[in-house]
Amino acid sequence: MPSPNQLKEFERTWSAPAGWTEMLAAVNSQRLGIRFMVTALAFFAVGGVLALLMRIQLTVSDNTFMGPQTYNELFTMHGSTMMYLFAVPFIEGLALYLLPFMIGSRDVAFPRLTAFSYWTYLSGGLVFYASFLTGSVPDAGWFSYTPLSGPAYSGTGLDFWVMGLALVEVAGLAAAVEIVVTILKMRAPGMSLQRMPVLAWTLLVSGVMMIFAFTVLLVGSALLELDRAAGTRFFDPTRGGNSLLWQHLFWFFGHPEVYIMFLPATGVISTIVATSAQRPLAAYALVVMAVMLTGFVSFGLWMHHMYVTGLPELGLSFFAAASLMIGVASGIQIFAWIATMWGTRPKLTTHFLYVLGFFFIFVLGGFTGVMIAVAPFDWQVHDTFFIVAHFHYVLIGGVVFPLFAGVHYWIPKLGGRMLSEKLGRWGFWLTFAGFNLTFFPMHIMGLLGLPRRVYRYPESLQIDSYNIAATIGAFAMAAGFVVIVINILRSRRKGPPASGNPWHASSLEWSISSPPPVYGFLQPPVVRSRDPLWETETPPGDSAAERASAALAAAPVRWRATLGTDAITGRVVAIHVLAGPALTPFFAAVGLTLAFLGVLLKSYLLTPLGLIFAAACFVRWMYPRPEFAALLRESDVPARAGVPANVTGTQSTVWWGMIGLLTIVATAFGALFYSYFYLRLFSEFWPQGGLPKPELATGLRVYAPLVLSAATVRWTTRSFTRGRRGQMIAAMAATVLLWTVYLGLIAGHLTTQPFTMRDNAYASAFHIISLALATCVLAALTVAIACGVRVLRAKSRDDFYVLLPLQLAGLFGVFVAAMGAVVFAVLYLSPHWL
Amino acid sequence: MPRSALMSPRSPQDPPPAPAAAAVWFNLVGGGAAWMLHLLLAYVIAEFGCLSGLGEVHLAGLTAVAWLLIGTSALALALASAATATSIRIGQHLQGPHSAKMKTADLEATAFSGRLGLISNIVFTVVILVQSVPIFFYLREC
Repeated sequence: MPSPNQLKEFERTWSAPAGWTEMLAAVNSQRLGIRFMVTALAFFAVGGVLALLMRIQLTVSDNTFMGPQTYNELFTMHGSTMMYLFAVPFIEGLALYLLPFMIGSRDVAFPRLTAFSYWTYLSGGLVFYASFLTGSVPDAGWFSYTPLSGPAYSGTGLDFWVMGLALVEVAGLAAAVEIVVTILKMRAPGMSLQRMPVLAWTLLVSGVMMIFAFTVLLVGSALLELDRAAGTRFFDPTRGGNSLLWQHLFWFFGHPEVYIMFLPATGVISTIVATSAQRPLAAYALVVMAVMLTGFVSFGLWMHHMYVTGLPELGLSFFAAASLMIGVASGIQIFAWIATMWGTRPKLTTHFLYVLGFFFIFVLGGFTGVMIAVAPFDWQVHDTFFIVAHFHYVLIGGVVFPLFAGVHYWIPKLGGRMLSEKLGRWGFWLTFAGFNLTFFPMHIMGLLGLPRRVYRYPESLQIDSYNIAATIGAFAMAAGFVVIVINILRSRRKGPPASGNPWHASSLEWSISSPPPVYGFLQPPVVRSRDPLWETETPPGDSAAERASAALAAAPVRWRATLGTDAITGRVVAIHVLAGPALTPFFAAVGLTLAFLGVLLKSYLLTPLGLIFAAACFVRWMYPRPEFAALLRESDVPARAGVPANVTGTQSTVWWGMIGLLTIVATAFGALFYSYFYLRLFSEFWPQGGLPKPELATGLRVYAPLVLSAATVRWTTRSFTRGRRGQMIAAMAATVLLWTVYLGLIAGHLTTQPFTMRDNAYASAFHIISLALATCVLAALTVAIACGVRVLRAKSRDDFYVLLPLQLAGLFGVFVAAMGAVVFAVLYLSPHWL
Repeated sequence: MPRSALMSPRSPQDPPPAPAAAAVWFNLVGGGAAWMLHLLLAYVIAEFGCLSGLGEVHLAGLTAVAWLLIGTSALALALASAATATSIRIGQHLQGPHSAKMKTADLEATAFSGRLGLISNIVFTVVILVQSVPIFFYLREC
């Protein structure tokens, strides 16, 4: 048992700093999770108000409440707010708060990255809404199709949209890597994959999806901004570009996006259904398979958003077939939930009412989804209110209702007080009835011919009564949301205190107090089954796990740590050191925001300054401190636990974080290559504009140093681990030289080309892909030099603070070298072959 | 003792250990990878094959595009079937006498991965079959 003094010191280590510093420097996942959720709900409220304004305009035919420009701005900001600023950030917040407790960890893998993610998200949201202050509000829809969003047809409002979106996407990517690594590497001992809560599975699959989907959107929005600000021609059909390319890039993100939101919502439903039925979830393996299937197949549906763009029918039919099949996965989950509840009498708590509401609304939305998956039917209803009805049914039914169910279910854990069931029921019925009154008539309105995105409609359509009903429903829904907020705020002071486990749930978060202590678990739990709190007898545990868990009881006292486990089996493999409070993530987010604002304001000095400032913050953030290293060396916790505190290679969370980063960069290049080949395949001549094909000899000369550096990078890491200092220095010097030569050659090559990036789409793609790679090499060079200095000063091959950075720099180095080979093949070989 | 392709390299005297990691991963992602390959290749062949004039070339009454699509579907089905077969063999491997030598955690985790892989590979095989149906409506023209 820990002594009172030890407990006190342990609590102090985990507590946030006092005063205003706490606001900016907090890294604890509980605090940041709540911030994400509160900020997301605030954006939800604003987005809701925008919707009410639109509904007022549409209440009666030929209404003059607002003009077309204002209406365009409202539906753009409403959609953008809900899709980018509410749904995914709220889910991220829920994940950051709940996940550590649910999987038996004290925090997430990279606490400072969480802080950076929050501040970047907040900045992105503020940039979106700053457009209202300038009078130039985005007005091209939440999807911003080109050419409407291109430089010829839109103003600075779209720049706010692109820059705000880019910041939000960066935040999302950071959170995604965080969630994936935490789930894989920081589960409680004994929590193998098959004992993981279904919510954790859904967050894992969503996190992986985010890494691919958000990156493609980030690339797409970067290309759009390049067209707008730098004069490139990716989407300009008059200069060899292709407007449809934007749609491909956007919907490759856009369709998985809805499943990124939906899957965690299904995880919430699975959790609540099992708890309400007081029975383990039926067909666990099938449900997990359905979640994975959804994750995969959702990336193959994007063209069902493009049925009316004139793509060949045969091609579209494959996407129609895939769109029909994804219903199988949802169906599996629904039947599993029904099976779980079969024969039981769940209590009709507020959270369970929302689950029932979800069933009703989402299944209706699913029916209309199957209808519009059929291309000929979609051709009739595309761009009508039928589609508006469909996606609100699946998104509000499939995402918002489960999230509200989750809020009502977990608020007692968060706040330590129960919500009022009476107010909860009022909130539910107002929301449920209001929702159906708002959106069901829209199916009919769409079939009667009311198009989307029109600010008014003629009386001759004879749909006034449907619109009046919809507007009444919208205000009823708004009232419902207000009641929910009142319930939450009221419960903070007047709600009855919550017991540790008021719902008699089975998962680990209910084993700690409500609200949870700042460190989560005083002693990391050892898990022996899928429903740990429902075990009636204690199966034999793993002695190594018990030992490690006991060693971390109220320990370590002067640094933050939690147990690390194998990704599949849940065996204890390490103690993961966790970062404490710091201001660098906040300032890094400020730097990045300034860089993006520089583009927005056309203040092109601000952009590089902002990037340099952000880079300096990242370096400071990650640079190890000698006093901390000494603290770790002196601690006896690793010895008592029987596992090391600082691990390298695949056991290290930082290694996995680097893999996440490299996956993002590889996906970004994949999106660029896709754009290149898409433009090529629709061009009669390539290169366009009579430009000469790139010379192979020139390409070889420029890229050979980069590709060869793969060997010198490997040589560096091997020499270090074998203790061959002389060889290591030579290898490092060779690597730095090769990269410097490459950078000089590519700079000379690009500046002496007979074309600029503004000439045509081929020229744009050639320059941007080359510059993207050069940027990566510059980053790798900077990392290598910083790492090299540490390596040269290293006294031991086993020094963790040298070995791990070297491994990471090595990974990055080999990656950029390999990417060099691919870029050479794409830019220099393919024009001669295709 | 016959050596299964699922086994990690060992001497014939040692009892076979857990299924090879590569087999377990192939069992988990093989079906999904097959599906993804099928969808992407089928779309590229359908769109660009038709645009490039391959839809005008006929072999045994079918267009070249149709033949390419049939070939792609056959390849994807073969890959998904191989993944399914791997899942079945993992299950059989774990029911054998040597599974008693595996650590409990490894046995449970591998068994779960095998079950998961089997179900998902079967479903992906069905999805590929459904996705291949449209081809038969475009055998003679694009």
